[in-house]
Amino acid sequence: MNGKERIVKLLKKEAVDRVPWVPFAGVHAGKLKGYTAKEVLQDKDKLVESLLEVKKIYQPDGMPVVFDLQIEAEILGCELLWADDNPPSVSSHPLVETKEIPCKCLIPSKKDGRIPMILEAMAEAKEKIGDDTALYGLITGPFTLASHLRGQDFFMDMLDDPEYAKNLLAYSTEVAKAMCDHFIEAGMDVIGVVCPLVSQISPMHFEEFLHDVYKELFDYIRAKGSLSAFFVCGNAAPNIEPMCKTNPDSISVDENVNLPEAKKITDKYDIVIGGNIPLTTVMLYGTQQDNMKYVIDLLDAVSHERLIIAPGCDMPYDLPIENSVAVHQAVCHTDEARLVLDSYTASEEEDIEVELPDYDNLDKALIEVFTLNSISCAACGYMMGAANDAKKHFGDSIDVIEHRYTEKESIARCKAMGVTILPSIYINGKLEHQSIIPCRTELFEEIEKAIESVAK
Amino acid sequence: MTDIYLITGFLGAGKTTLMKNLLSVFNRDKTAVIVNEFGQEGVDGAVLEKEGMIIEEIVDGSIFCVCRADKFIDTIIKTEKLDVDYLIVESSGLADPFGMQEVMGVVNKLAPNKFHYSGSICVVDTKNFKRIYSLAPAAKQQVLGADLIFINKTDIANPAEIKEVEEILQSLNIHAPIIKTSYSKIPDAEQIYALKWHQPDMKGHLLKKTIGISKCTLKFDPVPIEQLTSWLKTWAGKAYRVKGFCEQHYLQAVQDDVNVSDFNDEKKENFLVVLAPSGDTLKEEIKNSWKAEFTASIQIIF
Repeated sequence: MNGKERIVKLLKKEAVDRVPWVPFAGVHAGKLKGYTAKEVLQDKDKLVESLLEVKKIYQPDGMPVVFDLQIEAEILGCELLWADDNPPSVSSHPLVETKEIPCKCLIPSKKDGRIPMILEAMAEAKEKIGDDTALYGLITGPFTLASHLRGQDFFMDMLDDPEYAKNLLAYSTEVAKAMCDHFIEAGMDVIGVVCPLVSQISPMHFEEFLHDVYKELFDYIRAKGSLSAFFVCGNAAPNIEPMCKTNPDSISVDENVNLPEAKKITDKYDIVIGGNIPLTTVMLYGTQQDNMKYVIDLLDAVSHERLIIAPGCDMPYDLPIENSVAVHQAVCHTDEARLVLDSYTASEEEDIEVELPDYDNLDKALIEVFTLNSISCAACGYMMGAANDAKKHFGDSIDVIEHRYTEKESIARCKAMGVTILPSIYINGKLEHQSIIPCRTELFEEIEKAIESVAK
Repeated sequence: MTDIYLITGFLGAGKTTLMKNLLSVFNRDKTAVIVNEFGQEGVDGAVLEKEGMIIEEIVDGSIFCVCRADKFIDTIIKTEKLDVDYLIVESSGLADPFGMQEVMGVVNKLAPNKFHYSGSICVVDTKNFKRIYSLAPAAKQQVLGADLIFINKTDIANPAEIKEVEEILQSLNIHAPIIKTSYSKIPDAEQIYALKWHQPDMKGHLLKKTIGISKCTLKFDPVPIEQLTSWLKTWAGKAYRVKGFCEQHYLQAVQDDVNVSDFNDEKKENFLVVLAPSGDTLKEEIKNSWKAEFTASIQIIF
């Protein structure tokens, strides 16, 4: 069963072989190839190149093509403030001074704004990785879009002028349906309706303002033969049941929601739930061990049916690549990740002595590759592959050794050498590469220098 | 050492006005401001700078900040190089102050002992609170997580409305003092200087403080300023920062460097706010040395 089959079957409520992994690498995808957020959100080639890298390094079962909730808003007249390490922010709201409903002629067509670039990227991603990866087309939820257009006054409209609020939501729903049409036609397997603001209103107001809107949208997606996901962030716990009643195929939550508790509700409605690795404390600032532990603890706390493991929301641009690698390992090779954590704990308790080579007086250049496991971890496999390629080229002039983190001795060695990030390549005891796989030329040049330095 | 103040409150409650009033309270200090929302009335930087204060207005984030703590953390860390005394964060109307626990955990990891979080001040619009409270969970969270609450716009509400709002607030939050005011006016600067984060959990219970910096307030009867300055020099080096007033003097100590300036306000206040490493040693020293030096009474409020 490949990743796409796994996600599609799961969302159709059929049995799957394991819990799928869906990294929400929006602008973070750009980091993998050295592109800024702005570049991947405006340049089709850079976006596709970054998506292919996500596929290669993180081995996802499903992944979004673009994670930007400002696409529709920009077309409808919101000004955007661009950043290099974040999706753009809306800096002006066209309806802030006027209670109008925008003209239907402004509903985004395939030719408007950044949509042509995105549709091209979707088509190319579909062709290159779509056979075995479920591609998510993300659209802005009507409530969030209405707030983009009207500003935060939209909250007061819900109290002071509910009729206007409902009319603006109805308009935003038409926009959302148009986006669904474009993205489904471009071959997206799942339409993710992303609405962070859902967590910001009470269940009573959800019922009054949002139930019909989202029900209509998910019915529409289903009628078109596609699958749906309802993304929310913030403390949406009180709204999980109201969200279920709108009948999406899946719901995605962040760390503000207790996932095991929420899953009791989604299970009752037979809806898939995804989440909820904490973005900041764990994924951005935690260690690889923290990430593996969070995933394993989560997997141990809930039943594995109707479950997706994913970050809580769009991954921060600067998220350490190795942390995502660790999550993939914990989701897809859980037993091995347990072994890593157990060995790590044991190495803390036992005082294992390791003898490090005398790096200043080596007989030949030494390439050490520190991995989680080069067989099961894709990123580690590529790193090891690069070293093995060098071995083939340089033959007996170099030694290549893999230290797998599943072994206590390797962990002790990592500690002794100060290795904190896996996979890494050390040449003659010196860190040369971590997380990002070196290109052949670069690595070979470094090795040549290492051989020369040993000869001296 | 930068002391962080968070202003919360729903849309139109009076957050921006309170921020301006807070800037007036801190007008002897270098203060930075983070505005976490677009399209709102800005700080009148030119006017405030004339009063000798440096304002850094950082417009950051969007209405989605609920899920982007990392951006907020980055912005706080960036203020380190500004070397300011105070950082006022005017949060988005939808912000949840309970997120500050996680934010400060990471901030202290990235910049140990550089930032102290004094707590959140929640501004409530008397007229609209009940309706907003039913709509937006954030309004309730902001009250639950507040360390000081301003019931604002009391000039346009009747006593029954004010009482009703006050009762709701008291039922939600037992520890935060409530100030009834209009135009977000601050009647007593001491309550601002002495603001202290209570770190309640989601049920409002107090949790053990985990951060290695604590704040206490010394309230005392007037003493000669020269004597007070000498006394301060004997222990101020052990604190991160000491600030406050003695009659018509403003005192500020960073390490052993104690500065005194005139404070021409009609109101005579006598208090010092101390930011120091957690633990009782310094507090004991302050208490004992005061008794040895002065006959005037002192009260140490933790």
